[in-house]
Amino acid sequence: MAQVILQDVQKSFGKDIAVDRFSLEVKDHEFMVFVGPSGCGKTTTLRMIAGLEDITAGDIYIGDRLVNRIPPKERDVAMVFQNYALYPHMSVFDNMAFGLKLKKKPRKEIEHRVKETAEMLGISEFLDRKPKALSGGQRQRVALGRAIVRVPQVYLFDEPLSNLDAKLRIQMRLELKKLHERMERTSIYVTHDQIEAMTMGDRIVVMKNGLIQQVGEPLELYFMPTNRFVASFIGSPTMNFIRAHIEQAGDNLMVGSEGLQLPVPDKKIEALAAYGNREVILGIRPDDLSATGTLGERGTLRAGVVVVQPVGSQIYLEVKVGSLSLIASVNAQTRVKPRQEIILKARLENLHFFDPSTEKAIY
Amino acid sequence: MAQRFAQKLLRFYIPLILFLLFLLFPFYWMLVTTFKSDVELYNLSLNPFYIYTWSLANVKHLLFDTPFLRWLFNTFLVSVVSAFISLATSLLAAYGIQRIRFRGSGFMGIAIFFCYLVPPTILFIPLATMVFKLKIWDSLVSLSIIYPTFLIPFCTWLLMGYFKSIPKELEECAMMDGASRLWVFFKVIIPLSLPGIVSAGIFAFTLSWNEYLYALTFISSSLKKTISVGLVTELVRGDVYHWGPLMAGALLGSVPIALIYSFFVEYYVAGMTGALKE
Repeated sequence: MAQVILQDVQKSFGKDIAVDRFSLEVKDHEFMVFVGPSGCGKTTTLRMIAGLEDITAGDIYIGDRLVNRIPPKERDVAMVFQNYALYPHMSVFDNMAFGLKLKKKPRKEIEHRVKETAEMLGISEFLDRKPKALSGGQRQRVALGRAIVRVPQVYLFDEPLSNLDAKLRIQMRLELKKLHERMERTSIYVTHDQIEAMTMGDRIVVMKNGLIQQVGEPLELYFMPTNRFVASFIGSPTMNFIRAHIEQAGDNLMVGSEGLQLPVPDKKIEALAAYGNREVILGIRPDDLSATGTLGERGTLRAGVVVVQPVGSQIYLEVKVGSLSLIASVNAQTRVKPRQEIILKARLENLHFFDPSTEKAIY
Repeated sequence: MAQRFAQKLLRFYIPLILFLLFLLFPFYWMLVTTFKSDVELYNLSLNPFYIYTWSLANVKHLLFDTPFLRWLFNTFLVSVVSAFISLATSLLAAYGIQRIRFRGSGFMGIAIFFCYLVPPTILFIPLATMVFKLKIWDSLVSLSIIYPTFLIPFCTWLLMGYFKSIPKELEECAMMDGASRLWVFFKVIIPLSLPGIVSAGIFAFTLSWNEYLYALTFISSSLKKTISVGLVTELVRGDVYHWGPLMAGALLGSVPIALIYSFFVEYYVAGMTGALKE
């Protein structure tokens, strides 16, 4: 059993606070992803769990053990670094056997385990080579192998895929996930790539400026972001944000801005009633704008196409609604040209609302 | 094509050749003087750049009438010992300052650098007192422990720069795998810094080899002198310069250095650029 528990963990470098009030419980065998823009403290947090960085305040438990003062080598964790950190003067075999040799395992066992792991990762044929004779993807596998071969309680990944090209990254994403299922170990994975986070994580921690913004399952973050930052960080293309007014129109509550009037979805009416005649931030995901509407229908808006970006499965449209600039992700079959006028239909139940001063979501 | 070659010639080869001529001329002069007879050397009507009749008299005089071979051995011994002491000390110092972020490590680095900036012309007086008190006056031991005073700061700075180029993750990864600090130092840092260590070693060796002032001050017996001092004190008598043997000594004295440099040139270049290629 190796859950990882962080309680009010704080890290400061001099006066700068890098990580603040970080509390989290990573369950046994869970694949937890830390995501956020660079400098948000995600790597620092990972390094604190690894023991490479002292913690300024708070407690970290691995399993049932308080590890605050336990050195890295006794924490039973393995880490995969962004730059792989392979020893350039050792062969792939020696790189992978390094930890086992230090643990004074019998030679037979080391050989067996390294070979088995190498086979699993498809690097058996490179065991005699030096890292510099390998491609980026192969080095990545060796780094992975070196971590796996030790079979620690917890795996830590620090942006392990960010040095690979896009195609390889997607392939490794899948392999890592499969590996996780197979190894049945707790994993904590740091990335700045929200797609990596969404596709790999059982749960995701979104961080910004050293603070946890939200912890949740991937789709929970997508559909119910707790604040504007999470809403903008998760999902691609980024959510459209519009400063809008809540107005009472007959029986309906309407949200409107220049050139745009949408009825407030039923489930949000109660929460938004308090914002009557006040400003809110309306969030619409590009995916929730389709080109299937007919004018006059509930939740439609008239838009002028500015830029058309086909990506294959979808077409990203940059459109003008009044003076607002919005992105819509519409069906690939849609035939549109720049300067053409179209009718967009918003999926009303998926509209997001944020308080303009706190930027928190209004539920 | 021709134009490009002409440009390269003008911008690259011609300056390079001029530079080479400028650098190599003293060596040529040494060579020519060594193998001339005195008669030819002092005859101003002859072409000084050319040897009319080759002679080994100067070399013979140097090797058999002066303790030159003894000086060579002394110089070698002192250079090796002081380079070794300096390297062993600097490796630990540089690693400590660069990687173990103890309180005042930055200050320590700068303080060591300042030691290097104090010129020997000032230091030799207090050092002389110390050498007297330690009763190692006129012995090679004095040079072997005085030379590290300027070698250690130099090597420490060179190695600090080199250690900086080794990714920290390599150490961190090893430590997570269960290695101790010393283990990491010997099995990861030292093998990876070989080019840096070799170039620091070469520098230390060369600087000791060429050192003049301390050797002049602390050594007086003829048999304990180093080459740089021995040649000047024993082959310049009053205002009489024995040019032939002097140049022969200079030539033979620089051969070992040239050999070492050419032998380690690859390490040395890698060490100076400090780049660790994976």
